[in-house]
Amino acid sequence: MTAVIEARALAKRYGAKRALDGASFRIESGRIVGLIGPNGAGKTTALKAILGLTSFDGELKVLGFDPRTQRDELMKQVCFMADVAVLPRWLRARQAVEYCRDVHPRFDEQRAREILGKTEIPMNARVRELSKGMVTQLHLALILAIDARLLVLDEPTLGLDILYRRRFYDTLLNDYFDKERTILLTTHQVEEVENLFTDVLFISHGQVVLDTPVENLGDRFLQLTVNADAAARARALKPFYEREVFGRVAMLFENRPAAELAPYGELRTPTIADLFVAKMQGTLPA
Amino acid sequence: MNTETTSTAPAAPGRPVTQAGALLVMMRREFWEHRALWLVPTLFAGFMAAAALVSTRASISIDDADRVHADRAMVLNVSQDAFAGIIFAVAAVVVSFYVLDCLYAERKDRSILFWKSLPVSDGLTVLSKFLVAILAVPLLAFVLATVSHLIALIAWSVRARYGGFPDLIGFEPVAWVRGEAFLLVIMLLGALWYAPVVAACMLMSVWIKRAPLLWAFLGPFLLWLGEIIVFRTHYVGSVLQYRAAGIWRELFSRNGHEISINGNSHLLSDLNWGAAFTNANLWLGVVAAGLFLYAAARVRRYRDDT
Repeated sequence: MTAVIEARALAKRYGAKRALDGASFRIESGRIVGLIGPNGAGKTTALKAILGLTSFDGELKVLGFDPRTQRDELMKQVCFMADVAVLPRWLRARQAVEYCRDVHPRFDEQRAREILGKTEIPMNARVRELSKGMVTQLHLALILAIDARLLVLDEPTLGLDILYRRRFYDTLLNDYFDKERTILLTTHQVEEVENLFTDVLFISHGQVVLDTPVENLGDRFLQLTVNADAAARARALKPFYEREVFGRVAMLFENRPAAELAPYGELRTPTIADLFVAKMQGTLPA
Repeated sequence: MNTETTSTAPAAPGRPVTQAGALLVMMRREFWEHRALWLVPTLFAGFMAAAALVSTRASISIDDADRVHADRAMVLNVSQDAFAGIIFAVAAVVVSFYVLDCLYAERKDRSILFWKSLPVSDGLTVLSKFLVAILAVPLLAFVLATVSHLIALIAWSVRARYGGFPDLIGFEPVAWVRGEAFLLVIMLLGALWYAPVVAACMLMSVWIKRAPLLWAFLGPFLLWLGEIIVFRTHYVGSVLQYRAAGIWRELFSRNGHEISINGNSHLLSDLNWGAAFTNANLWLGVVAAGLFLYAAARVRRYRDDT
């Protein structure tokens, strides 16, 4: 397999604060990777490093390019959508399409117009006249028309209602994603998109705390729900996290065989959201 | 697992996009965003042409009734210069605001994150904005001045023929071409002379975190005042004054004497063009402009919306 992103010991300081503190990870081609972490964990800094928008220490190759010195080349094959609402308010939909067509060698104007045709965005409308959801649709149409090998999305659906969010991810998955492309995505709404990810990368305090394909989660992590009376015995097997739910106790285990846990209660694979909460709990101040 | 890092794109290279083509598109983009760049000079030109159409009186004093032909050329050239002078002045004001805003606005509205998601280098971006300020807007002003003046000239000629206006207005082709050529050369000289000022403003626009417009005016003023108060010298003031008008003093003087100008002067041959275009400070300024633009591109490289 080929690596789209290869990062070794990424570090970045803002004054005394370490935004990235030796993060290392590898992202293979044809994956949809969720970069997940609490606020201030270093997600956005990592994305900015990957996109060549910030300086940093350490080694980083994106599609074989160094984002620090080869950004212009890199950006022909990488596309990103940072947050919502970065399209300038004065821009008309028509102008956005024409501009992208004229400066981007991999932009397919026909496709952009097709996608926009399915929305209610008038080609002559300015961004300032559109609703937040429509602005995101416009931006997505521009991005989907770019034949990029890596797409980076930083909280692309922040502030959108559920209908737009659902449509956004459906379009992304059905009309865009294929094995040639890689998508790196950060979001706070983990529950909503966890079925989308093929891989997850948890980041906390500038370090990678979990990096795994979703299909391996079941082998590695188990959630055991036990009755209160069995909790003490189960606790002896050293869960790394537990919480009380309706009088029962849910415990999370790492690298424990299912056979060993099964006698104590119900077993299931934890959701990404559960894992995230569990992994982050220890790293947050009480 | 056998792993390797890809180094080149296996995918199709896509449509060719030349640097020159992208540059033109990016310059057009500036006129979309900063509509005042074309709107304000066009409105002024339109207003002046309209004023000529509805004007009912012309006050032109004639020195010598026998020299009608020469005076016609004079009236033509003076009115030509007056139209150009006003429209160029308006364009200069608009451009001043533009160059201080052009690399700041994109951070303020966060659109820099969109522009930077496209494969356009910082160098090309800075260059496109510089060319808009130094070349595109002056050329537009020149065209507007020419067109509005011609409209006025036609209106005046009609009036002159049917009475009410002195018979001093008419189209003198040679004088007109000379007048246009004079304006073009003046425009070129001005562009070269003010290039470092434009580039320095762009550097401030990309560099200063908040309110570059305020600092661009306040900064030099405080330097000037501070120097006077602290050192009791006037170097800052004289540098500013020199860059504001130095080249025009050069152009209008010969052998240390000011060239006297009247309505009948042939500005193209009388003025000291040689001294102006070979002035060392003119070309040092152009070099400085290049350095400022390079610095602006470097600073923009790691600028984001913060």
